[in-house]
Amino acid sequence: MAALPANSGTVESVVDRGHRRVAAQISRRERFLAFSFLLGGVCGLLFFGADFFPFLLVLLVASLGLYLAWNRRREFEPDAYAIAQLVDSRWGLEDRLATAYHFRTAGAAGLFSGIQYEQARKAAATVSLESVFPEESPPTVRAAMMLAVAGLLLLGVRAILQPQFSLQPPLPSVVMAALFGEDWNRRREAVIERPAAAGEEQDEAALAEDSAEAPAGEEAETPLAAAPLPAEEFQPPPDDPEWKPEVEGLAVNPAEDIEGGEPLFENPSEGLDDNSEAGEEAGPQDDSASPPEDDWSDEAQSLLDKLKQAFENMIETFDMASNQSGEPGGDEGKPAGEESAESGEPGEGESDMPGEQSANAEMEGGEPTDQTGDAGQSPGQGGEDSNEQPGSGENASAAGSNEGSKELADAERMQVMGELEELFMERAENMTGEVTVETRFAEQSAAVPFNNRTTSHADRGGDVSRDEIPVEYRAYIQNYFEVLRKNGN
Amino acid sequence: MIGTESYVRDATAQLESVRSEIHKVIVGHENVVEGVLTALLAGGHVLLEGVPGLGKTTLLRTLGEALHLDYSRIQFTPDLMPADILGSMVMDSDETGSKALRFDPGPIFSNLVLADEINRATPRTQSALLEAMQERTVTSGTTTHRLDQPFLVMATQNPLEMEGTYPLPEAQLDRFLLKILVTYPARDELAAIVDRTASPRKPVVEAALTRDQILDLRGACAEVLVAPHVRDYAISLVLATQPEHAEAHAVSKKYIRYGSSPRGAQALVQCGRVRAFIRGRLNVSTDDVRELALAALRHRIILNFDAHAEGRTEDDILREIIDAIPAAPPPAG
Repeated sequence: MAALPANSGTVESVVDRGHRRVAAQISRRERFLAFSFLLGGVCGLLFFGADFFPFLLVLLVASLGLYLAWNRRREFEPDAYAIAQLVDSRWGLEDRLATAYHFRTAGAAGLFSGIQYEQARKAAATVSLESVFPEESPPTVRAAMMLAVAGLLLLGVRAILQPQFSLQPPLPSVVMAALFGEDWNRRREAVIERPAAAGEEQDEAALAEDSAEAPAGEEAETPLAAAPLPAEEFQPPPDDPEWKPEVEGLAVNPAEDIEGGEPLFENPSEGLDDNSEAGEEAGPQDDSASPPEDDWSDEAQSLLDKLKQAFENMIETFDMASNQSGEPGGDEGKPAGEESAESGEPGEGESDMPGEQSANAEMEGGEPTDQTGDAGQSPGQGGEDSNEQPGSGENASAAGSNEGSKELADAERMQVMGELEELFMERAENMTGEVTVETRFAEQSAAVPFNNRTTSHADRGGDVSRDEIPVEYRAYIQNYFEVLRKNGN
Repeated sequence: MIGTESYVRDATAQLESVRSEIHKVIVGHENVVEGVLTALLAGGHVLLEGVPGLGKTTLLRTLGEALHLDYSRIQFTPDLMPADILGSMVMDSDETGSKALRFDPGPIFSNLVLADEINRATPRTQSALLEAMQERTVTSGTTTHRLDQPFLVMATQNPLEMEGTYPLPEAQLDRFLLKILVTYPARDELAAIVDRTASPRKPVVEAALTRDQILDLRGACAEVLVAPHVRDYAISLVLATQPEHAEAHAVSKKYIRYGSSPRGAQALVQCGRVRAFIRGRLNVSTDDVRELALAALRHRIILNFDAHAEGRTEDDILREIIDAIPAAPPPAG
């Protein structure tokens, strides 16, 4: 359809020209949207390579863009009546154009239809569609331009870094290969070819790491050194010629790294347990080396024996304490043990297992011995001292040591109770002051309803017979009245 | 002849002359004058709300003079009875001495009726206006009397004094086509009012339109074209005020107890036609509807307790709704 000259013709011609203009704008916008999708696919291909982003995927993305653009064009393109309303709204025609267009195209005739159409035609003659629907760069154009620039950049990077241009490898690989040479490609291929053995390799790599760290721990001769160090603190062993740094991101071949060396642990968890045990052993055995691997089962057995012995001691101590409840020495023993346990913290860095040591100290320090008291007074060496006296629990057993003291304790207790009784009585006599009862600030009602009953009281007479006081309370009551009389005097 | 361009041109000029005649006496109050003219040409009634002394009575008297119409004024008081407004049957004797009941028409039988302080009368008296306003008839006994056309009731009420008043029921409020707020004049307007009051020469208002011309203009206004999108815009506004409707605006759901009745949409389109015709246009625009929305809808919505508690007014809420509803279609895309 040939374009009509501006400001000519009828209301319909203005509306049609506006409609075509808007349709063209929408069409252009949606074409750029589809083109943006295509460029996005190409960028994906350039970045991920054909290995991960095949050409078929590019076609799929482009097709998706085409479908979206077509769908949006169909959805957003307004009809001619809406175009007339837009012209009215943007050109300030007070709905003359839309009303005239509607009544003309609908064929509805009114008394003022002709006059109104003439008014609209005059108004339409002033309309500049270029101003009503100005040409603007839609956002899809900017998106397409940005994607085109990005694609060109990716293409340039590939062209510069690749000796022979290929879209197959992903761009990061190309960049890494350019930075680290062909070795990178060989390793990458090795990783791709051996995916099945990845699990085993990881275990062996873990073993290799442990074996690499074990000598350092032995040299340090402390339990702390046997624990895995953070990456930043890790230092290669100076005297290990076989040691080489691990390539970042790649699995280390354990067969190469620990070749010729014996694995220290069968698995990492076992290694951890043994490390902790070594930490315990390192305390008492000052200059001794860590035990050989073959003796570990014997060592564990000895530890279990010690634990068993400690439990037996503890149970025995509890029995003693329950038999001699209230004995001052038994009460004082536990704090002394705790004190010695607290003093056993690794203040000098010689032990990393304070929990266990304190547990041992608690087990062993239940008796009121002078040794544990002394151990508590030497904080730096407390842990060692308590460990150096493993048999102190047995030696300091309270069995038979307090023979005959029960009567003394009872006598003391009776004396104390008598004084307390006197105090209570004085307090009961002299009790003064005010009593404040706090209640809720709300309307309150008695739990039991008030019932005003009057009862008659009659003196039945008679004396309280002495025989009515129970026998077991007679001494107590007599004592009570004697105290009262004494205080009264 | 109606339907020609010259008729439209002449009619527009006549209406403009009416406005200029009114403004000989009334200073300012453009929206009030245009609102009263709109209600008259749309065949409705108008409720003016404003404090005393703003020229409401003077406006109606001047309008009567400019339009050459009968004018009556009823001062509403609590003891005013319906018969005082509508008229009553009286015993009349002729020359022969025979007696018969005769209907003595009340002040309602005028073209322009000013119901001053309408909220001071009892609901019984207020409801006496209902039939006259809606049906344009008055029934006395078994006889129904038709009111003369054009018939415009212009009621006033004072928003300040609420003691001893009977607020108009919703059914009666809905019968007013427009509710116009009469505000204080601006400084220059007040200066002009003072000057005219002090002047020894009183302005003479000439009749610019006859009764028949007014009825012709009414017919012409009813022929003004309303496009579907303008009608839909008016409907959208009304539906947005109904809190239970799906198209209700959020503020309606929050603050409005009862939204506008369908009479609100009718009033918007009717008044829009008159407004467009007064301005020489033969189609209603969405701008006409938007400008009239406050006057046509503010007395048709009932606010809930939350609105009163938060000090929201009908105008606040309607403005929010009007701003939220687009008149034109959204831009493409």
